[in-house]
Amino acid sequence: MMNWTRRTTLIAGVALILLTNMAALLGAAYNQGGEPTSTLQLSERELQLPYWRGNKDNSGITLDLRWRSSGTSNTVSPYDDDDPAWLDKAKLASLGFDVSMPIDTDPQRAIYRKQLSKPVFLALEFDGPAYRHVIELAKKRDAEDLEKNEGTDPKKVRPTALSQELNLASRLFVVDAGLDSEKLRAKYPDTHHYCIVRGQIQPSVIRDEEKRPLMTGYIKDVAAQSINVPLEFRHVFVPILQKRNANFAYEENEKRPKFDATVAFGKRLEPWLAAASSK
Amino acid sequence: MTITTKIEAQRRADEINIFQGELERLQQGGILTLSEEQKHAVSTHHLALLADFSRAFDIDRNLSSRQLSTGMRIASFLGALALAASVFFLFYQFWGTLSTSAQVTILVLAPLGTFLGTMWVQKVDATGYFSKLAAMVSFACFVLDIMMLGQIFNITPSDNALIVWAAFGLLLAYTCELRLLLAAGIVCLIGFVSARTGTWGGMYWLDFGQRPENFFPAALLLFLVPQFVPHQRFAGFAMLYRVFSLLALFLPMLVLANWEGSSYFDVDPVFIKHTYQVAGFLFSMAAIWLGIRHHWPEVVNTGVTFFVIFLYTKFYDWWWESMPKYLFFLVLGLTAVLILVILKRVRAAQSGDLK
Repeated sequence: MMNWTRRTTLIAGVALILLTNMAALLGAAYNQGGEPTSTLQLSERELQLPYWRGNKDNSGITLDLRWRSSGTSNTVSPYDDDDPAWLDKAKLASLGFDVSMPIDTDPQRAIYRKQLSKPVFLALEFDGPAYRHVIELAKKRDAEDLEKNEGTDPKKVRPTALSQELNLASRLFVVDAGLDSEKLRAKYPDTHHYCIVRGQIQPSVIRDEEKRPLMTGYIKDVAAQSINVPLEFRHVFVPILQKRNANFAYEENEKRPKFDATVAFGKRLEPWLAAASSK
Repeated sequence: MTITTKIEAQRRADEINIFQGELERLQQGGILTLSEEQKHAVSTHHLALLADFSRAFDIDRNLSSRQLSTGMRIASFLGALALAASVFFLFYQFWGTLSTSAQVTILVLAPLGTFLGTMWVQKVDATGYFSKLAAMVSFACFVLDIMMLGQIFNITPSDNALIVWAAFGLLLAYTCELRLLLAAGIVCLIGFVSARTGTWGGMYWLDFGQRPENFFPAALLLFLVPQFVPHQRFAGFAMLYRVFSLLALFLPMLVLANWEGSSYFDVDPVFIKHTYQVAGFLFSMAAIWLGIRHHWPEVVNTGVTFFVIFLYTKFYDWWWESMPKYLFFLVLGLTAVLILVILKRVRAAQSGDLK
């Protein structure tokens, strides 16, 4: 057996540190090298700033990607559900989930709930048909609200669904999923409006409007959720954070500070902040 | 007999101290009387041995130095934790104001520098307290390094981080004979093996905790390590492997015995629940038996603890709702007394065996 000496320990330790760092850095360099696989022009609507208030121990800034689902199978909350309409039985089967069993009884439904999430590739659409669809839905909802609130003081009425959609809500929607990133890219070739990222999908069974069980799934996680702000773009976000901290209610307010940010996605589908400026 | 390790030297020093105490008592009782030359020869021999051990291995020569050592170990442990936390917060405090290249340079150099520092301190510090402190800081720097590189470049999380942390933790633990880092390394290893078991089962690696059975291969692996790798030179290392192995076995079993829905098996949930409840009792009894047989007190204690936990959770299921509370706790108390009586008998039987 090899005699383990101090020298061996020293070599092993140094090699472990260097090789691990090299692997991480080469991976990052490969991801960011060459042409990005997608480049999206996002804003404060799609990128949420962290809550800085009271966190004086962390000087770093990360932006959270705010994604939504394109419509939903559950009509209770038509805008921000995690179980999108396109994630139906056929789609779940194409993603490798076993959907062959019926869902009529509780034990049968429990089997679906027991299935674990699967790693998949997700297609995110920015400012496309899914967004336009929710605008139409918002207009419809506003019309319904107007009918209900006829005669109420207009000052007391909260911002409308349409105003929310046009000014505040994220325009980034998860519109599809697949097991092959290249096939998904071929289906959505516009690299300025669609990006492919890693994520997880979990099957579930919900009730539709008529209380009938409906097989669906929900997006459990999107891997490219947090995006680090490098030093060169820090000047864009620090004043916004300071301003927001002074006025705690800014976050869901139409007067909140605005910014533009270009987010690029590389060969490993990992994002980075390519450009940023305040409006 | 040649003494080559600190453990052997400390054991020999303890035996000398015990011998001296017993010799004094024998002399006071008039049972044994040594001549002045004999007393002098024994005393000189022992003093020379203790001085040699002290010089070579920094052992505790007597009870008071042992008590001081314990205090130093506690201070070293707390200091190491505080310094590791300090490294984390120091970087977090300033990293946002550094360029990416500066961040990367600091992150790579920090574990490298502290590792080389640990090796140097270990060479000059015979007591080992300072090298243990430095080793903890080095491990914290390496964990921070990988975590922060992931954050800076938005790298997709991977279970590979766990295996390199485990490797580094174990390397430092064996180099500095540091049980705290061994525990950290073992925890990372459990995470990695369980995550890999989960991914082989088709799940996303971060979900490995959702199927507690993923921990069983790690439990088996950890139990086998001290069986096949000799650990005489490292005090308490084999014990830690066995304790973590039992934790990786019994905790998932406890979860499955109560929340059967998280099992891999697609059979009747009630059957799964009962199977794990029975398995919990059988394996904890097997652990007690194995511990007694091989003189592994930590295995006996862990086995007894989990046997009692399995028993109490079963009692809770059966009687918490139906029994008056005073009666429920009386049953628990009486069960504890019964377990004590059984263990006392086992101990008495074992003492008889030793005779």
